[in-house]
Amino acid sequence: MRNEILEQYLPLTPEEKEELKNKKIKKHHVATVFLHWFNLFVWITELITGAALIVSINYRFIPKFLTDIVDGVYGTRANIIKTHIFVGVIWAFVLILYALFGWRRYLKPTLKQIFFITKDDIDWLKTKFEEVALNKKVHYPPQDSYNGGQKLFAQVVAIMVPVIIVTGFIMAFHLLPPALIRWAIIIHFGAVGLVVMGLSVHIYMALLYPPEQEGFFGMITGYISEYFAYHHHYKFWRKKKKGLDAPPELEPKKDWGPIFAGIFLGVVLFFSYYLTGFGLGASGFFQRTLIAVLGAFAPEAVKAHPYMGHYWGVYPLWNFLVFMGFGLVGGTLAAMFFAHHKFRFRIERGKNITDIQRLVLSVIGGIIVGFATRIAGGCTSSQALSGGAVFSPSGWIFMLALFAGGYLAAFIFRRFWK
Amino acid sequence: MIGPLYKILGWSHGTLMLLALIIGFFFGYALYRSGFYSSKKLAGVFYLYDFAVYKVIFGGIVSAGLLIWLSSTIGLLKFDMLTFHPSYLLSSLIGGFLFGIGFVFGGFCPGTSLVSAVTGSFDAMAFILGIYVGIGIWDIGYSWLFKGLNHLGKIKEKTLMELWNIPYIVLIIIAFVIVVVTFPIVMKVEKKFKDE
Repeated sequence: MRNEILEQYLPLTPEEKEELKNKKIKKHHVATVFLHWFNLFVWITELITGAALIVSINYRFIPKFLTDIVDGVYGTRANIIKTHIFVGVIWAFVLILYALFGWRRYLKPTLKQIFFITKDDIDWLKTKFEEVALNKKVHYPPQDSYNGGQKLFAQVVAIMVPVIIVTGFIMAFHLLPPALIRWAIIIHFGAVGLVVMGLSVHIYMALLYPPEQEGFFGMITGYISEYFAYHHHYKFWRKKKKGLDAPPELEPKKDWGPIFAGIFLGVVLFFSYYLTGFGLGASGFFQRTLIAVLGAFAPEAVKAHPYMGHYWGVYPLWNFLVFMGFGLVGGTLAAMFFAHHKFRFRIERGKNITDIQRLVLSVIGGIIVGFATRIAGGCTSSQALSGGAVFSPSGWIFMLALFAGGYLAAFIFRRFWK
Repeated sequence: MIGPLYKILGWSHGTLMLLALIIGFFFGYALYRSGFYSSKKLAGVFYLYDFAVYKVIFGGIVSAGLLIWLSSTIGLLKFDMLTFHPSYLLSSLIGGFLFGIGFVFGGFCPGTSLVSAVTGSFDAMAFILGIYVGIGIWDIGYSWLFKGLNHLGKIKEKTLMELWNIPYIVLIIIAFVIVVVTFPIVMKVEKKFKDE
C-alpha cells in the first residue's frame, strides 16, 4: 500500500482496492448499534400511534382508514395514548441515560463531529446537488466519519430530539397551563416533522441506494470494509490508520465492599419508601410482563382470571414494579459503564459441571424460584429486604426459610458450585 | 415534607412511574456494584466462600431500618402509610424455603438475574426463562391446584413490633447486634472456604 494515500485522497490501484476490500474497520461501537435499532423500534411505534392520535381535522394528515386500522389494533384511543406515552418515556429515559453516562465517551465526541462543519462538508452538499439535480458526473471531496448530508441530518436530530422529549412530557403529564400545552402540541408536531423529513432520506439511503449498502450492514455488525471507509469517509479512515483516535483503555473497577453496598442499598430502599410508600421489588416485573403478553392474546380471560386479574390494574405494564425493572436495567448498564467493565457473553458455573448442565440447572432454578415467589408473594427484594427493614413477620420468615432451603440444597448438591 | 410523598401529596400515577424508574435505576446500580452480576458470587453464600449476599442484605436492612425509624420518630414519615407484604406466615415459609432451593440451583434471585442478564450472562437468561415458566405454571394452575397456597397462615399483625409489642428501634438494635457478632465470624468462614 502506498504511503501517499495516508496523506491525500487519491484514486486507488486495483491491488490496493482488493487489499482494502478484504480488511474490516470498526465504525460503530456496540452501544451505538443498540441505540440505533432501539430508535428504529421507538420511531415506528411512536409515528404510528402519534399519527393516529391526531384527531383535530386541522392537523390530521393521514387517511381515516389508516387511523381506523391503528384504532382496531389498539382497541381504544386510551390504549394508543398509553402506548405512545409509555414508549416515549422509556425512550426519553434511555436517551437521558445515554447522555448522562455516555457524555464523555459517546455523546460529546459525536456532537463535536456533527457540528464541526468543514469546507469539505459544504462541497459535499454542493456535489450531491450537482449529481442528483443536474445529473453531472462528480467526484466527492474526502469526508469525516459522517458526510455532509449525514451531519446535516444529525444536527436536526440532535436539536429536535430534546424538543420532542420536553414537549412530549409537557403534553403527557400536563405540566403547563392548557394554553401552553397547545403550543407544546404544535412544537412537538413540527419537531417530529423536521426529523421525519430527514428520516425519509436516511431510510432511502440505507435501504435502497446501492452505494450505501455497506453502511447499512455496518450499522448491524459495527464493521465496514476499509475500501468503503476509504471511499466514503476518507478522513475517518486516515485517522484510524494513523491510530489517532484510539480510545483510552480504562482500568476496570473492583466491586464495592459489601458493607458500603449494603448501606447504599439501604438508603435507596429508604428513599423508595419515603417518596412512594412502596419498597423495592423485582418478581412483580416478571409477573406483570408475563400477564401483559398473555393479555395481548386473551385480555378478557386474563382480566377475569382469579389470580392474574388481580395484577391487571390499570394496565399490567403501567405499574410501579415494571418501571422499577426498566430502571434496574438502566442502572445496571450505567454501573457497568462507570466501573469500566465490558459487556461480554458468558456462562458462569462451578468447576464440576458443564456449560449445558449449568444452563439446565439455571432453568430449573428459575422455575422453582418463579413458582416460589408466587407462593410467598415476593422475592429477596420485596420480602427479605423491603419487608426485613420494616420488620414484617413474613419478610423475616421468608428470609430465614430462604437460608434454610439454600443451605439444605447446597449441602445435598455440593457439586453444583464447588 | 412528610412522606410517603406520593401518597400524602397525591401525586399522579405517571409521577409514580417516573419515581419507580429512578429508584429502580439506583437499585440496579447498587446490585451491580455489589458484584451481584456474578452467579458465582451470589451462590457463594450457600457454599460458604463468599458472604456478600448476607452482608449486603443485613447492611441494607439495618441502614434502611434506622433511616425509617429516625424519620418516622421525628415525624418526617408516616409509617402506617407504607405498603408492604401482609403477614401470610406459612406461605412465606414455604415460598422462602423453595426459593432458597431454587437460588442454589440457579445461582440467582429475580432482581440479580435481570442485572446479570443485561451484562451478557447466558446462565441468567436461562434463569429468567425459568422464572417465566415457573410463574406461568402458577398462573395457569392457580384455579384448580394452587388456590389459597399464597394465603396460608394469616395473622393480622403486619409488623414484629405489633406482634411482640417491642419498639422498632429495639428490633433494629437486635439486627445490628446480629450484624456486629456474625460479620467477623462469616469473614473467617469465607476465608477458610475460599482457599478450597
